[in-house]
Amino acid sequence: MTTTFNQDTNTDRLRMNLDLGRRRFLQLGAAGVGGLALNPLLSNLNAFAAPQLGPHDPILVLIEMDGGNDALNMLCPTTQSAYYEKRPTIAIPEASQLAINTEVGLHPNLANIKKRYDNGKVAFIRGVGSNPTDFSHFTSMANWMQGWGGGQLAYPTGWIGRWADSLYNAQNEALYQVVIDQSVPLHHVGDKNQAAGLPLWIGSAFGVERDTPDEIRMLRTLSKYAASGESGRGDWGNEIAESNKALVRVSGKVQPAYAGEFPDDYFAHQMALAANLINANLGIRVLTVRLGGFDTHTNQGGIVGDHANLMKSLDDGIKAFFTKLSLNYRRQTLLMSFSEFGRRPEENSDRGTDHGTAGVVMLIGDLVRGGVYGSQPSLASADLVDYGNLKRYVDFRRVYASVLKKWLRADPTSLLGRSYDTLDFIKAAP
Amino acid sequence: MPTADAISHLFKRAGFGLDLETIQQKSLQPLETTVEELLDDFVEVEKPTFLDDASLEDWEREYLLRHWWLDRMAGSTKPLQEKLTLFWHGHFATENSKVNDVRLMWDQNNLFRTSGMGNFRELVQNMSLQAAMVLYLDNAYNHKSSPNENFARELLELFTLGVNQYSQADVITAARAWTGHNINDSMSPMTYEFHSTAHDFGTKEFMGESRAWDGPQIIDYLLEENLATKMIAARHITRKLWVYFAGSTPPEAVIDELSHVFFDSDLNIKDLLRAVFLRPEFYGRRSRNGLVRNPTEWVVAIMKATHIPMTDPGDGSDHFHAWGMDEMGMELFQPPNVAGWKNNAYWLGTTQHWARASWIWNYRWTLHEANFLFSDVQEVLDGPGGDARYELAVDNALAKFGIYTPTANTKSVLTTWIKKQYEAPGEWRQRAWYHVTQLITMSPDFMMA
Repeated sequence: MTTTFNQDTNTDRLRMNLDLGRRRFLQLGAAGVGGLALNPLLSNLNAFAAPQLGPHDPILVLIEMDGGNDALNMLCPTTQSAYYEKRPTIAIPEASQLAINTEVGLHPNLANIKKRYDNGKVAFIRGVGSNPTDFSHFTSMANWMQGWGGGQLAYPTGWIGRWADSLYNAQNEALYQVVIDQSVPLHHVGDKNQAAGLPLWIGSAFGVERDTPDEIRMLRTLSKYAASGESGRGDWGNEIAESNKALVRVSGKVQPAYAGEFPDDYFAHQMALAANLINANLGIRVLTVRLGGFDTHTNQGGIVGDHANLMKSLDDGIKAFFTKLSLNYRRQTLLMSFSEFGRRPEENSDRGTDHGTAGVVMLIGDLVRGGVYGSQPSLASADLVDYGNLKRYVDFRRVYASVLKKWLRADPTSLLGRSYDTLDFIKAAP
Repeated sequence: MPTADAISHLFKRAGFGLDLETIQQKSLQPLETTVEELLDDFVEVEKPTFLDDASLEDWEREYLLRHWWLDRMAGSTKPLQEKLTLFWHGHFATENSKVNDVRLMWDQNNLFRTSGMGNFRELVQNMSLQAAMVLYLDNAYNHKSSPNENFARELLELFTLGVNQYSQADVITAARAWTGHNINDSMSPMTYEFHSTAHDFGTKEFMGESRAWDGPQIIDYLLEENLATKMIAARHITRKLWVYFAGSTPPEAVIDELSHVFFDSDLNIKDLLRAVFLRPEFYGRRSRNGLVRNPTEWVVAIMKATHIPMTDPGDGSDHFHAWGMDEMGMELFQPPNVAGWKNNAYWLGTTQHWARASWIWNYRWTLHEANFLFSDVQEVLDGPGGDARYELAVDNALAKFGIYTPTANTKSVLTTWIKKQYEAPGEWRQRAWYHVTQLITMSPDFMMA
């Protein structure tokens, strides 16, 4: 059994643990149901089809690498002698690196990504981090997920959630944002719109098969707890009623995406499902897939070891995604990876690395302007900061600003609470 | 005397619910008496024998232990003991997927069971020196030549003080202080062991104090010697316990007063709990509407309602199983990470909510064959009484699930449904009494704690 490290999913702490200051607008939902109430049994179960996507609507797939990805062994600083000196047992030897340019090379397990890079479809942003430094998984990931540079927010929201709030009928649409996981990460939480968390399997799941009149009647009734808008048990009771309604809606819509064969690897399976969900055109704009296990304090290894296995999973998962993704959606799909921090340049005595600072963000897509962006931090001892860590050159919100402005066609300043310089890794929005 | 509603609320929070008859009895005595009954007479529990059965794989023992614990929650006459054990399991969260030996998880679990109501400082000390935690947070890798910060950081951030109440330099010193607190891995199960050759005996500075710090001294310093950090920890734990028992938005004045009670009692957990359960705010609307049942509470409430256990009785009669609770977001002995489980909205994501619906849905035939609710619902529907019998059937079914005063909304939704269902043509009228289980267990009334 693969060990799931305790540290790798710390961000769950951030997930959805928010006070309900922003109840969904039940009145609007109720108005929508009203017109359908005349229909018999099969009526409103699937009524809330999200607006389908046209060829110019951008899709964003986020790969959340939990635990703090060791960017230095993902995109290795080939020419820095300090890299090999500080990591005697875990550095990737130059001969094994997949050369990106004269300065950096990829981990040998990222062959598929390398191929895409050679085709001009991958951008790497180096030296990305948040300021001030925070070595806690929790606060660091919260910072990344919120992506907010303005003053204190009344309720914590995430950068994607705030964007989704601006979409049509945001209060009611459960599928604008999707996370393939049990819980919804903070970046998918807006004031009005929140992501739906979809499971990996729906084998005998409730609500998928709707064979008999009494089952359909029961499903309709489950939705009805929300009809009056007042559960009698306060905000959380109302929220439960709304969750029932969303469940009845979502469980009736997603089945086609679960048909067919999937890869065995857990991450590749999720990525293939993500592609299927896009192919099903359910109106999904942003999807998050999580890959955990990056908190490699021990047995991280170099060419082989825990981190090498993660790199292999990442590479295979991205391949599985593009294998499944319909060509119809390929041009309008952008992949982006992120992690809460990088790791310390110097390896520890357990063939691992401790929490660090700057990391790498990777973007993949047909409309990505391939290349290496940002600045490569120096590993020389004299250049290190904050207890032996890398300098940061690019505020992570600059990456968000670029994606919001150039891909999602949104105003980054209002969504991030501050103005950030953009980078040029996107050729054009679809 | 407390109202029956107040007693019902207290036992849903401090336990896993209570039958109507006992609720009525307890509403005839002072609240103080009931609270003392809850707090007193902790029982010793025998170690389940399957844990020492060498023919079983670890995952099998884990599965059995999960069932054993759920059965205990549903059946124990000391429900607060188990409710509090569950709290500490989430506070000192440890995953068996990393520990890889559920016998060590049992040791930890039973420490929570036997000491969970004692002195907080002693609990932290004892928990830190058990193999489960040493393995889980990598202190087994914490060596003076290369300190590993994992345990030291969480000791400060999660277990005692809360985030940002210390500096990175304090974490580094605490890590050095904890070097050498290791395990003997030649034993099975492994045991805690101090490795003096790995311990850093040097002088180091922690929170401004230069000493030859050793790990346990860090705990004593934070929770005894330094009154400022002791107060910070008292607040941190008080807030967390209040949220666990009362709801998600603690009034600051209440936290202030309760944390002083905790501090003044030298961090005695029982004294804190007594104060919590006697606070008027605990019985107020904010608290009553403050918590969504977590999946464990929800499953245990269903076990209590149906009298169906988790452990296979071995005589061919029905039992539930805990498969699916991971999808609900709460797999015992496998918390999501070192920060443990959260509450409320955490359970209402589509996946978790869907997993609950699917879990009970998959037992519809079991409940049908067990004739569960037959006499309370189907016989009432088939009998005389005009339209009033629809309401009676709904009341009966709700009471079976511990809902003695349903909301108007739930009552009306269910009554409208059961009438339609029963009056529908053909055989479908016979389905009312198993669909009603699905509808009740997913209702706001039952999903709320």
